[in-house]
Amino acid sequence: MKRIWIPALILCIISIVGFAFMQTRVDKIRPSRERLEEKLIYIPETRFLKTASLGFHAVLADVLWARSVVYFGGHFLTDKKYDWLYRILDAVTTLDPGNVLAYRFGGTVLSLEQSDAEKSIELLKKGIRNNPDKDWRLHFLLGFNYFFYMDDHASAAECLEKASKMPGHPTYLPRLVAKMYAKSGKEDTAIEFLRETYRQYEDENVKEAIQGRIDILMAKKQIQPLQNAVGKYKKHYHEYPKELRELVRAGLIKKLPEYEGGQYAIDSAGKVEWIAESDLQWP
Amino acid sequence: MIIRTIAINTFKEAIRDRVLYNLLIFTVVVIVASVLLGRLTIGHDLRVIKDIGLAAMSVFGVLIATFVGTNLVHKEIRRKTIYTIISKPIHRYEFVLGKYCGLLLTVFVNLVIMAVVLFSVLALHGSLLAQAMVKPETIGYVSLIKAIVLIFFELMLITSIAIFFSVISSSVMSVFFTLSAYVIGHLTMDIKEMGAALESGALKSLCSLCYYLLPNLENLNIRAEMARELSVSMRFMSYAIIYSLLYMAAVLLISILYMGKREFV
Repeated sequence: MKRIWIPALILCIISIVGFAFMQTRVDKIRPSRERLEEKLIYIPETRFLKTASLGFHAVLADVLWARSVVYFGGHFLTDKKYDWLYRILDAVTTLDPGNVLAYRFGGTVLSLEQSDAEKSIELLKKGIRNNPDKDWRLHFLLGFNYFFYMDDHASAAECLEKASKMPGHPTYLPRLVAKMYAKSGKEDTAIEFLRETYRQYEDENVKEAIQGRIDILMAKKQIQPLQNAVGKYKKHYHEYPKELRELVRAGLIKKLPEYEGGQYAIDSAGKVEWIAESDLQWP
Repeated sequence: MIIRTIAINTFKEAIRDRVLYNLLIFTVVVIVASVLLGRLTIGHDLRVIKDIGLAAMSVFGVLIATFVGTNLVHKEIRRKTIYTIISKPIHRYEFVLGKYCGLLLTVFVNLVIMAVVLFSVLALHGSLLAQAMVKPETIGYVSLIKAIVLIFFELMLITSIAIFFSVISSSVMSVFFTLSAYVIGHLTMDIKEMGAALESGALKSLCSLCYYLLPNLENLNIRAEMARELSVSMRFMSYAIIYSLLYMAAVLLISILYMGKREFV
């Protein structure tokens, strides 16, 4: 045995290095993220899901929940396409109806990132149905979707009123409810909503996604002051400025506001617009 | 020569233990799947049979490798036949390799018979659909054979892991460890992807280390590609096979080294 000990040990080390190297070769042909997504086609339909999990609901829910976060992170940093996200979150919340975080996560990113407010609302309603009076944030996010995407101020106000009657809600919620009823300043209100949503997350990708939306809204808020300055320019020079920098040169504004994710432009009819880099549907 | 003798003996012993009875269950599972599930999933009859057949081949193969493999060394100790073996001019590595080859032969014969059953059911079902004037989906024999070949290499790897645990721990614990290795082997990619999403550098490195050291049985699973009717390149097949052979070699070498140190009193 002693004679084969050293050659066996050397061979063993070579084999270990060898299979680790082969793994890198396999990964080049079939990246693990794509492979994980291929496996998602095997998630059974929601109605069969509990049966198919053979009693291991919680474990399967945890695995899928972790996978959904990884899935979102991977696509957020690359193509920003989340075709399977609702399907995974629906599966997670069917297996574990008490996972409030999954409803909140889906309720936030499905509308903000995937521009699919209907799916976001569906998931949040499912969360409220399964967890009545458990988390004010579910009502809060539902209200945001109604307000911002559906233009349904009455439903939004109703949701926020429910949220403001639940423990742990922030003190300014009643003020937001009043704003809903008054139908005032869509951008301002949406920014308030999003700032609160931002505070609720620790995940950097989700925070970045929300911050991106806040920036766009902030940028849109500046359109009206710029438009007013263009009006003054026209009154003074009897023509529209060819570019917005002329407003600074004419002393009508101190500097052109700058926000990430796009830029301001003015057309020949003097209309100021915010041209976003992202092709997302954003009301 | 000695390895061959031990291997044939191990194979005969497995047959005597009525290991091949599982084939009956396999046949029933595949036929029931073809009759019932095929009808429930309109238009996907053959695909369902293929999916269930391949999954059953993998699961039954793993169960045989685990329950027979983990018992191989312990049975010799329990029956005290190990003393007869080690007192003969047989090297420990010959003993381990002989046992491994014998078990692999059992798994291989099992797999071949299961493949024949699966192909027969598919062909029969396909011709019945054709008779009923329903245009059946293509069976895709080539990709099916590729999937079965990779299942064999997956079983080869699991068998070596079963032998390894059989050498280092008790019979019950070996079963537990081997089945755990099978489950973990199918979740290794999750470890990598979750590791990539972590912020801590140390945890990231730990996940990466686990990813490269733990067996990645998903390399040998092309069932998702089959379901989507995607072709699998020969380059991928060969990488996956080389991976499994190297992994198996490493595990067997560790088993041999441990066996060489072990005292039987």
